[in-house]
Order: sequence, then C-alpha cells, then structure tokens
Amino acid sequence: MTARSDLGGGVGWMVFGLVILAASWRMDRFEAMGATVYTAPGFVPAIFGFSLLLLGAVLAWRGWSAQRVTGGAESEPMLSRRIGLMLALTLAYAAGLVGRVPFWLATTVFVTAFTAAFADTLPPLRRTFTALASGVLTSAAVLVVFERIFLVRLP
Amino acid sequence: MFEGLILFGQSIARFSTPETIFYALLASLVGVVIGALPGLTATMGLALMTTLTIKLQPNEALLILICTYVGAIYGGSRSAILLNIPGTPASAASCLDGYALARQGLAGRAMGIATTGSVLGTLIGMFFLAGFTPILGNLALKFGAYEFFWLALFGVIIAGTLTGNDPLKGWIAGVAGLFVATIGQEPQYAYERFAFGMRDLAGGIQLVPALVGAFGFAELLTAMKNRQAPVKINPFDSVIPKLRDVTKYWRTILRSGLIGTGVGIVPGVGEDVAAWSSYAAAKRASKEPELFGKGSIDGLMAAETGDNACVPGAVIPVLTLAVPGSAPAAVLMAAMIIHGIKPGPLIMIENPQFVYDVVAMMLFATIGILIYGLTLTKLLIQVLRVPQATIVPIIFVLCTVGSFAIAGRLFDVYVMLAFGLIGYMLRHFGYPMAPLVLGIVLGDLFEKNLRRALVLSDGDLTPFFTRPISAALAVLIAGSVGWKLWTLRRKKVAS
Repeated sequence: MTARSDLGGGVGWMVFGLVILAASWRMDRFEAMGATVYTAPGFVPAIFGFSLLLLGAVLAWRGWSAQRVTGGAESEPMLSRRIGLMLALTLAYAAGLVGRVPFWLATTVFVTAFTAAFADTLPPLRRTFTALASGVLTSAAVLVVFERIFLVRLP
Repeated sequence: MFEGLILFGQSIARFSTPETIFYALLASLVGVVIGALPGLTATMGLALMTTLTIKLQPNEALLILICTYVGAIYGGSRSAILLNIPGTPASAASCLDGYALARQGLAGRAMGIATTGSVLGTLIGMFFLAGFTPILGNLALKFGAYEFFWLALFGVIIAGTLTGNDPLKGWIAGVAGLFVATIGQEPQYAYERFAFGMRDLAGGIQLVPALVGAFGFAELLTAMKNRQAPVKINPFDSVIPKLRDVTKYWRTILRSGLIGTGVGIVPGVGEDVAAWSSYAAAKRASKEPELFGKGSIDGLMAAETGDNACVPGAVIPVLTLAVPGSAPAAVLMAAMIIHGIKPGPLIMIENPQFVYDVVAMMLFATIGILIYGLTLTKLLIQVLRVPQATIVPIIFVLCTVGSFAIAGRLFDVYVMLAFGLIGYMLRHFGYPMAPLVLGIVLGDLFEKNLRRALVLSDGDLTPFFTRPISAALAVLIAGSVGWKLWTLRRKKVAS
C-alpha cells in the first residue's frame, strides 16, 4: 500500500463518515412518542459515522505524513485487462442474463464464454471444445444438484 | 459430567445413520477440496454450502457445514506443503516448514504430520467445546446489556487489531461492517435507515449474500488478477503418519491444541492467528529453533494442530454468547439462525442437546479428514491441477445461485455483486475482511444493547465501567489496542 492510496482512502472514509453523520442527523427522532436521544434511529449510525470520520482522518494524516517523507509512489493498479474482462463477463451474467433468460441457457453461455476467454494457453480447437463442455456440464450439474437433490429454487 | 457424556452418546447415536454418515463424509471431502484450492477459503465454502443446504433439516445442514469447515481448514495444508501456496489463510504458517520438507523429498511425511496435527487438534478443541461450553454458558447468563455491548465491540476491535497487517484499516473495516448492519428498518420504531425508498433494502442487508460477495466474488477477482502459474507437483513418499511423531511431539500437540482453542474462543480472531501463535510458541519452546522454516516437524505439527483446534474453539462463543470466534464461525452462526436455532446464553437451558450435537458433528468431521488424509491424498491433489479458467466460472455460478437461494430474490444477487466489488477494492488497499464480517454480524447486538444500556442508566456511562465483567472487557479492549499501538511504535523505532 502506498502513502498516496492511504491519503485518498482516508479522505474517502472521512467523506463517507460525514455523509452518514448528516443522514443520521436528518432522521426522525420520534420526540412526540417520548423517544430520548439514545433511542433515536440516527443515534447509533451517527456514532459509526463519527468513528469513520475520525479513523479516516488518522489514515489521511498518516498517508500525508508518509507521502512527505517517501514522495507518493504509485500503487499497483486495481484494474487490469484480466479483471476488466472478468468483471464484464460476471456482471453481464449475474446482473444481465440471470432472471431474464432461462437459467440453464444463461449459465451455459457464461461458463463457455468465461472458459474460452481465459483458457488462452490451449490450442483454439481444444479451447472451444473445453469451454463448451464445461458450460454444458456445469449448467446440467447445477440444475440437478440444486433443483433435484437439494430442492433449491433457481433464478 | 456424566450428564454431558450421556447427551454426547445420544448425539452420536442419532447421527450414526447411513444418510448422515454419507453427508458427513461428502461435506468433509468438499471442505478438503475447497481448502486445498488456493483462493477459496473456509468462509467462502461455508457461505456457499449454507445456501445449498437451506432446505435440509437443521441438524443435517449444520453437520454438512461443520464438516465443510473442519475439512477446509485441514485441506489448506495440501497446497501449502506441495505448492508453497496456502490453500486458506490458516495454512500460511504450514508453508514455512511443510514446503521445506517437500523440497527435501518428504512431502508425504509432511502431509502425514498435517493429518496427525489436524485430527488431534480438532479432538483437543472438541474436548474443550464439550467441557467449556456449559461453564461459559453459565457465565454468559450474568451478561446484561452493558456486557453484550462491550462484547460486540471487543469482537470487532480484536478482529481489526489481530487480522491483517494494519490495525487502523482493520478498525475502519470493522466500523464499516457495523454501519452496514444499520441499513434497513431499525429495531425500535421500524424506521427505514439508508434505504433510499427501496423496498428490498428496507429489509436490511442479508448476511449470507454479503458474505458470498465479500469472500466469494472478491476472492475470485483477487485470484484472477494474475495468470495462474504452472502447477508442478513432485512425487512424494508415504502419507501414513508415524506413531513416533505423535509420541515425540506430544508436548507441541498439547500446547498448540490449547493455544488454538484459546485463540478460537476470543471473538473474531480466527484460525490464521491460532496457527501463527502455536508456531511461535513451539519455536520458543523448541530445543532446535534454528530448524524452524527449514523443514521442522515440530513447526509443522504446531501450525496444523493450532489451526484445527481453533475450529471447535471458535464455535464455543457462538454457542454461548452468539458471538463468532472467527469469520467462518460467523457464517456458521448465521446458518444456525436461518435454521431456527438460537445460539446464546440460554442454549444450555433451552437446548443442551444441541451443544453435544455440535461436538458429535466435529467428531464425524475429524473421522472424515482422517480417512481422506490417509487414503485419498494422491487423488485429492489432482484438484490442484484443475485450471483457474475452469474452476472460477463454476464458483461464480454457485455464488449467484447461492445468493438467490436464500430468499428467492434477485436483489440478493445484486447485494453479492456489490459486496464482491467493495471487498475486492478493500482487499486491494489492504483492508482485512474478517472485521468487516464481524461488524455486519455483531452490528445488531451492538446497537440493541447500547441503546438498551443507555436507556436503563438514563444516559449515565458509569455502569459501563463499574460492573465487573463490563470493566474487564473494557480493560481488555483498551489493553489490546494499547499493546498493538506500542508494538507498532517499537517496530517503527527499530526500523
């Protein structure tokens, strides 16, 4: 971890803490129903918001002090081509296909596409066959295990 | 004493049916495979298995989960010894001497030591689970709102202090987890907090989809960050443990078993700390400390005994206080609640048989890992050869189906995705996941008891520090934070 990411993270937590504090302050306090400050819905979230504000400030201060000494070194990037591709495939499956097309079809398409995209050390023909076999078998196995054996409803 | 033995005997008899034995052996196998695969942890395995077993009878579902838990913690040693990659964080200490032994052509003996240590560690932990739970249960009956408030805070603070490399980030993760628990209707007035008018969010964030995201999807993303290195497993010698390893290292086994169980009882700490603490204690007590890290049988035995002894240890506070001793134990506790079992101080009064059922489940899990450790090692390590591109999409499908299965809502799938992305980002920036999970689990306990305590004392904070157990917990929290800050300061000065 770098001083720069700690500084950024600290500021982020401070902002998040402030947002929680503000939202907690604006919550109904049920004074008409005889509620005290301790039973107000915003009381406990406000404590967490304040804690995040405080801890975020310490983290930001620590990052800022370290940055002054070390000069802000770049951290390892969070997103790479592999992660981008994986995110695209997983989000398309779970947030796009599931619930909109039949589950067996969505799963077959997802597993086939994922395996084909990442099994890049295999020769093209074997890669296609492996990906397709993996997709069909996974889909069938999930259907049998969840729906038939464990009686769990599928999306 | 005899009453406990009778209840334990009844539990064993009840579980000795072909169906439950089949479930136990299958779940232990699943656990060993999950544990052996680098990138898949016990917490993730338990979260997925919770969703799969949702329609089973409570006892069958919990048997499966406990066998998966014990199996996964044991299974991590396979990849630690053979590949120098810990299958689960709990096996990181086993890499040091396990892999060194494997490089000396003694991988089989190392796996035999791991099996011996894990089996004996679980048995020692089980002994304390059976013996300590009634005692701690009686003590827990003296807990009031003040004590439960401190206990919830203690779990989050200790998890933040001891897991990960940076306590400040651990505490931030813990508070963030506590905040997540406040989303949805609050307990007193059913007021919707942070729901933004969304009906699904008003019901709160369900624990299992959040855990499947934070431990499943986030772990898959982290594992896929780098291309998988080619897996090369050298041929190894016999995996059958030698009796002289048990007789020669009995002190290490006993010490590590006690340390592992003790670490397990401390809320929120977990198996990795148990393994490292046992390893460090064995090194201090050893006549050959210079061998540690270079293939010490003593070191490997200590790490493997410690982490598996932690499993029953972590279940003790779940049963008696409804506070999990580790991240996987948090999932186990959630599963108990889903299946209608109410862990907490009243369990020894309302349902004492259940405590001994859990001990019996641990025994079945131990038998499972012993069988697989002795007979299926050569076959099981073939799992390590399965390419990442094949296993990752399958696990992701299970994460999706599992999140949906809990309540049949697509919203929970989106919760899983959101927590996966948040978990990946937090991991990337060095935030540990265990305090986040503990925060989500303990948030409700924290809020209800803080509000109740303040109403009882009319805002007076004195009882928080004057009641004996409260004061002890407050001192423990302050002491652990102070000790950590002092050691960090000393390290900084030394460097």
